[in-house]
Amino acid sequence: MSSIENDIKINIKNILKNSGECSNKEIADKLSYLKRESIPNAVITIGIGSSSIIAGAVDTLNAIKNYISTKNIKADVIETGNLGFCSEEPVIGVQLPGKNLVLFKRVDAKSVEFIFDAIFSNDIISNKVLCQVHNSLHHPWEDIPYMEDLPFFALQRRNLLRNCGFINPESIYEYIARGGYKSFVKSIINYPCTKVCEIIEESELRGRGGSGFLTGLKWKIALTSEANNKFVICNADESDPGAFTNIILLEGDPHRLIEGIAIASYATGADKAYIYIRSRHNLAYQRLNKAIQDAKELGLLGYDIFNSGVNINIIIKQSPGAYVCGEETALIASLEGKRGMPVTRPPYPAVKGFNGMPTVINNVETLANIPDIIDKGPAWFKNSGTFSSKGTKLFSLGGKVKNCGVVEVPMGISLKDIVFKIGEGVKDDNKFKALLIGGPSGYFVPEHKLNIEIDYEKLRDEGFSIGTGGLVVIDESGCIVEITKFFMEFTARESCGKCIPCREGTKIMSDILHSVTRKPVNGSGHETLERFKGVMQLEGLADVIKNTALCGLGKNAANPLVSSMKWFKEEYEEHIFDRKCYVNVCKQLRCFKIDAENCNGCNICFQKCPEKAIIGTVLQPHFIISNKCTGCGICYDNCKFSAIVVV
Amino acid sequence: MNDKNIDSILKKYPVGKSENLIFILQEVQDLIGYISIESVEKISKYLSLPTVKIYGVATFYDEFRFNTNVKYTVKVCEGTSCHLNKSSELIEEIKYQLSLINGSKEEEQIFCLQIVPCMCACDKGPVFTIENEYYTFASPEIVKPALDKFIEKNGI
Ligand SMILES: Cc1cc2nc3c(=O)[nH]c(=O)nc-3n(C[C@H](O)[C@H](O)[C@H](O)COP(=O)(O)O)c2cc1C
Repeated sequence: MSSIENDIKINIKNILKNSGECSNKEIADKLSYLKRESIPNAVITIGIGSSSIIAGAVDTLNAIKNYISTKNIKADVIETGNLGFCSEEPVIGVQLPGKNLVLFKRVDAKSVEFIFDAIFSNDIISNKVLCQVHNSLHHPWEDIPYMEDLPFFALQRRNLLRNCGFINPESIYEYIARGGYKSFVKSIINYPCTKVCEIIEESELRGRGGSGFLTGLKWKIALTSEANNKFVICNADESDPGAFTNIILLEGDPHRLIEGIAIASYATGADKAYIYIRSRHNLAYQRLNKAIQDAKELGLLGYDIFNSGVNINIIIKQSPGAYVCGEETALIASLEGKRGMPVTRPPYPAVKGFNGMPTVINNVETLANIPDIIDKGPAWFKNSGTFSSKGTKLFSLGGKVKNCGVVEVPMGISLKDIVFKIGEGVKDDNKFKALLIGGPSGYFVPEHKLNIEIDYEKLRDEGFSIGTGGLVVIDESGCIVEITKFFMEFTARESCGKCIPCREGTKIMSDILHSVTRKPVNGSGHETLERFKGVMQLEGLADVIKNTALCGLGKNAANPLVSSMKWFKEEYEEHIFDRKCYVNVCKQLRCFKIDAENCNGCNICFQKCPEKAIIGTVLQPHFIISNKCTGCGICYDNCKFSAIVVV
Repeated sequence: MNDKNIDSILKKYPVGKSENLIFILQEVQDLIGYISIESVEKISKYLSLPTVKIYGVATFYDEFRFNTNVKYTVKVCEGTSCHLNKSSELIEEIKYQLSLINGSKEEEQIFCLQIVPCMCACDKGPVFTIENEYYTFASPEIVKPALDKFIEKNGI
């Protein structure tokens, strides 16, 4: 292995300049080995990343190592990133010489032995197999579906994700063998900065961080701004509850991002690039760190790269954690060592950003798109997508959906296809209720609107937006009002407190939603009137916050509220007028009754009730005084005879 | 002992440049586990920043802790998927159980609770971790046994 690496190191310039096609046969062979086209012995891959570690992948890895050493099998074990198919994790792959790679699903430590016993005698345990991966150089396995045949993968177009789950993210050589860093070298050697900006502009790539701003244009603005220093910042602060698209790229293919950042730095004339990553993503941090070290060692980063006079310097900074720091101006404040509070725009960061200098801030996914656009050209990129939204988009699909994970789909696919074809519909065959797009400042999409295509403009026209790409499926057991309240609480908690509309408004909205999801605490006073007044004010309040808040956090805070009131009005009415949550999620709205048949008068509920709402004498059936009951459920939890029922 | 270490952290950064404040705080916390009063005073002198400014920045972020002794972290996911699977009940229970173990004095807390937005395991929710042990599909009932097991194993 190490001699191969050495050879590549020495010939790196030739390999990268000749677009990966290598005249030297020896090196070509070595690259083909790294691509696992021809392998001398079995190769076992295992996806190790945040989601699979939780599924137990580390135990599986140990079991694999154990198996190989005890059975004395000659095989390379390679830790890859995750494939994105979270609900089937841990996923492992086995490639025997001359045969297609086979992926196995849900491989816990216990199942390693029988899977391996079988495959090393050319047999496959069919209920553990996920699929085989097509490769014209290898022989296929019989009766095993191909990756493209599985519903989860059939409609995906995996460009950004194509290495994730297959290559070793800690090996720069594997990335290079698959064409990596070609685009970067091509850019710095063949194109002036302006040309790179033009190519990206022509591709019509739009920011994937939520705003959808044209990336090429942003770069051009920074390039043409006069200043002593310029910066590129990669926004890897992904901290939406329920979105994990960036992390899979960071963990699975860090070099793609590094290459994207390097190209961005070159194109905008930046002195330094920062990666701003949430500090709890340790694995991603380690892998990025290694990627940068390795790229430096090969002379791909640093000073005077390949004698071109270009200097590129990438530094990772760990975000100390606050949701609002994902917002670009807050992010800059945080990088400058201040409280992460946004400032008004304009001036936009591309004109005046970090340390007052022009700063390009791009999302991880945006930057990961860059190498392919340079390599294959803007026309290739524009091939997929719609009129105004080109390329592919990552979504994390979660909630009550059968197939959970990160998917990459061409723009223009309908939400329905994502949920019902890729996701294979609702878990446990429950009824679909709503799709949540875009996290806590996102929108609820009702079933009859699922035909909308993924497209910045089309979604906007219908009153939705893509956001950072979180999709959460809510089934019939979910309560829309409660989820809205959950998001309002989230935003109120994460509001930085700088502008009053956001700081106060989100708090008031969440208080109003609270009052709707619980019974009156005491019957006296004006509580009911206050509640109605609050509800009447909700829409107006939402409007004010939207129009007056300083940053995107406040401006979008009311989105879930407004969209849920629009599409799920009847649920609000049930909560407000009937004071009922028919799916029994809002606990404080529950009404209890004691079933006299089952109550043997043990008196426990009487003793536990904090409101003294239960009366009765020992050994006689008890009774709940309904207008004293606040629905806390303590009696319900404590009754050993199932005598207390929800009505 | 601590003082020396903090000096060695500070030395890595230029004097008086307050833009490095957050990175210094991160290093201090990595080293001694929390942001101590003494460290804030030292940083204040070194960067020529009033201590109140340093606290102002440090308290803004979730990451920084100011109490001593916290040795173990319990993380629980509050992502939307986990929420749909009733993570709020789990969080309540974890808070309750930790309050029993930690007692009321802040300086004596052994466990700290971090509520994180997403652990990328949306199909396995609710999820929580005690240091490096993962619990998936977690119901409130498993919290106490899990903590008991951890405490026994680590001889706390
Ligand atoms: C409250 C809030 C949170 C945000 N969080 C993120 C984030 O986690 N990641 C991200 O890339 N952009 C986030 N953004 C958007 C950024 O402000 C910015 O638009 C984006 O990083 C620009 O990159 P792009 O042009 O590649 O999309 C957030 C915006 C707001 C208002």
